[in-house]
Amino acid sequence: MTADGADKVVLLVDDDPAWGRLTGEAFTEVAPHVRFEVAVDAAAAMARLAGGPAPDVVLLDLNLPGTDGREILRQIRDCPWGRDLDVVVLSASVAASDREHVAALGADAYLNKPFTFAELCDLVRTVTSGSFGGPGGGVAEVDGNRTRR
Amino acid sequence: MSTDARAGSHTGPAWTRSVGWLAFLAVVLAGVGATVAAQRYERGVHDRELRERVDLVARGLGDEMTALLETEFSAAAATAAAVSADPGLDRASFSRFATGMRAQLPSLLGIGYVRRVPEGDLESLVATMRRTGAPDFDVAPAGPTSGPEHAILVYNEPAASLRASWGADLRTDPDAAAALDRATASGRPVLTRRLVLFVDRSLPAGEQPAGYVVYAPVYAPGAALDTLEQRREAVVGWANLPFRAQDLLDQLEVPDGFSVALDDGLGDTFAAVIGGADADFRSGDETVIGLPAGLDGGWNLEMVPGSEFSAALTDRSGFAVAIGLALTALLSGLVALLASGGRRWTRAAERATRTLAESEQQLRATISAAPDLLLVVDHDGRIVSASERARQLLGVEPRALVGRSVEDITRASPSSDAPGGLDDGELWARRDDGARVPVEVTSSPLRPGDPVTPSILIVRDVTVRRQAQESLAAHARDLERSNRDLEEFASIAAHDLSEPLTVVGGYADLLQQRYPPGQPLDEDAVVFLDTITAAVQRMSALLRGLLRVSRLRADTQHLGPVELRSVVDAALANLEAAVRESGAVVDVGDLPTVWGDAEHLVQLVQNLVANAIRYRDPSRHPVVTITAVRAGPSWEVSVADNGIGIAAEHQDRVFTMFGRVHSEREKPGLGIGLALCRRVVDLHGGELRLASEPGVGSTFTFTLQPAPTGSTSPILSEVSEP
Repeated sequence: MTADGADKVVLLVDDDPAWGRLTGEAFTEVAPHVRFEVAVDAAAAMARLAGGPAPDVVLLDLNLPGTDGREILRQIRDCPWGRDLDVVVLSASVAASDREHVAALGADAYLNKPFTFAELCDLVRTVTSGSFGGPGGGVAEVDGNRTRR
Repeated sequence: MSTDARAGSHTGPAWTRSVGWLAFLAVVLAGVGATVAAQRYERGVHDRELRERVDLVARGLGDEMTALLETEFSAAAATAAAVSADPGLDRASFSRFATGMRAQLPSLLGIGYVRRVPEGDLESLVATMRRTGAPDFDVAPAGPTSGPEHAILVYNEPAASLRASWGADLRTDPDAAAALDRATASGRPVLTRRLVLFVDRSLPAGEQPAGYVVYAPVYAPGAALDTLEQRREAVVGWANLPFRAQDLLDQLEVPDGFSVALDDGLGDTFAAVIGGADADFRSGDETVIGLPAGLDGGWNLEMVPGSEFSAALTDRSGFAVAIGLALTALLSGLVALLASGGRRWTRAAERATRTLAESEQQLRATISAAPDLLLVVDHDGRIVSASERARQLLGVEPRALVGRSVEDITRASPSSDAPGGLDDGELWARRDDGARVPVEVTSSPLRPGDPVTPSILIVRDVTVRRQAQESLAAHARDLERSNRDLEEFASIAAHDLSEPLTVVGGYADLLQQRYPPGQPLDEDAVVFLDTITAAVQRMSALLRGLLRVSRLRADTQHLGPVELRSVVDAALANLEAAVRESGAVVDVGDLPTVWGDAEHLVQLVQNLVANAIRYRDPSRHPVVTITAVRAGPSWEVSVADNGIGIAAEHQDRVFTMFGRVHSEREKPGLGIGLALCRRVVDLHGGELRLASEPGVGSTFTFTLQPAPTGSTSPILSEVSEP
């Protein structure tokens, strides 16, 4: 439990306010006890991660202006506090090269951005249940509401 | 020589002409060869050999002549013997004998019998003759004779031509009388001097040929003939055999180039066989052979060797002999071939000749019609001959190339004056007007292995092929670019179009869940719908931008001289609202006329200026400066701003499609603009660079080619917002 009574904290790093708001709606819908935070770029994300209690999960959008998601992931893993952080990479891309790239950089999971609100809710349930594994647990691929180890 | 004229020359009996021509050529070659060989001989050796040869021929001719005369003497002796054996010989019997004899000796003009008639017996002779088949027989001349007796020609056959001679008294002719006396005295046949025969006496005086008569004595049967007196007593008549001198000479086998003549010992020739063009029997160079005993008046055979004979003589020595033999073998072989093969060979020869002529014609036609220039070049690289194609390929008459060096023509590159080697692969032919034509040259030696062999060069104009290759390469580049664009397009669709799509899908689903049928839409719902609309608009803008970039094509048809000032004016007109709202100041310097596509250039400038305004620094008035400077062969055009600038580490990303440096929230750029700019500059063969410092500003610089001098700028009309 956190100080404000939330049992978990999830940080979304995404520059698109529309996507941030939609994800927030999903948390409200299926995980009202999880505190949902948003950082719109690399600077805000790094400041939040370095300056406060670590979130349980970081949802990191790959396609960001300026310093993109890959670079942010690298910076996270370079920091002592970031090595054990659960990071789930979100992307609208389905390119295999992206998956391999972020796996090499140490993402715990790689998820495609879903196209319906129901799927988004499933995704939120998955990441808040902690069933996608922790550090060293490998990269889980979540495709829609199915989770594969 | 025109093709028509050539074809015409083959319409006759082609093979006989060819054979004749070849024979002529062979003879000429042999003659030349023989002459060359002859010149190697010492003059003296030549002369001595010539003299020896002439002497040899002269002796041979003399012997031959003697043999011929002896044949005639034999005939005369035989006649005398026949008459002697039958003193009562009548005319009919003599005529039969004469016919038989003349059949054996064709040159014999007639056979007669001359009877010795004492003065007192003349009248009884005439009576007898008139009684025995010659009713009009008379003695002529009837006048006094030269002596106490007469020699009357009683028979002379054939009667048809010699009837007029019957009754002639040969005693009245001193030359004949002398010959008769010598025959009587010697007991052998003798020859008269040169005289005009009875058969020729009807001819005009100048045309009477020289003749002679052989007389053989006929003695009384059983008479003693040991002494001169006995013989003069016993003679009863003479066989009379007339000949023409020319007939005698014509039977001689006179070598080529040799001329022979008979003379009567006084220097007058009276019959001749002229074998040489320059026969001169009075030059003193003639060889004279005295004819054998028994001839009256010292007859001689004169011989003059002509120059042809001299040439023929040298032919027989040294090389000339060999050449002569070879020539003889060749000619005789040809004759034998034609003779033995008959028509079969003739037809074969005709066919072969026709085929040869046709293939020669075809070869000639092929060479003229060949798309390639054919050159025959000697081993020093000098042109020996050139085909008609030289006119089209090099702009010169084929003959004008003869003697020139191949290196006069070939160049290593379209601009350099260095001659190109045949091994250089890529060659350029220099036309007479100075233009260069790309060619491919194939060389093949005429005599492989011979270090000084001439070669045949096939010079092929590869302009069309090169153009095709270049066009193909351009197409390949286009296709590659197009494929890359497609790939990029697909990638962008996956990456970036799907982002707003997730928003649209997510909110639509959310609306459906939160607002079942009958549930009124509240303020939240309106926000959701607005978000959907905004995402759709973003997608739409993205798609338009994608299409705009993908439509940019390297289309050379739209390339031309473009006044850059007009381009900037058009771009600024399109951006008028943005410029006005931002309060931006746009400074435009002197701009050149460049080579490009006006519509594309307007998009380029418009995007750069739009970027400069979009990423302006809110703490100061935006200023955009557009200038151009000459950099070598190109123009460098710069669009500089005093905006927020781009950090060094992000400068690469700005040119990729949808690569954004600034957040959506901060700067609503679509990331397409600079990718489009780069594409336009690429298509113009230039490059686009960025120099930027955060907090100071950015300068985009692109290069363009100047418009060629003399080209006119089209009026830039209505370049609309793309």
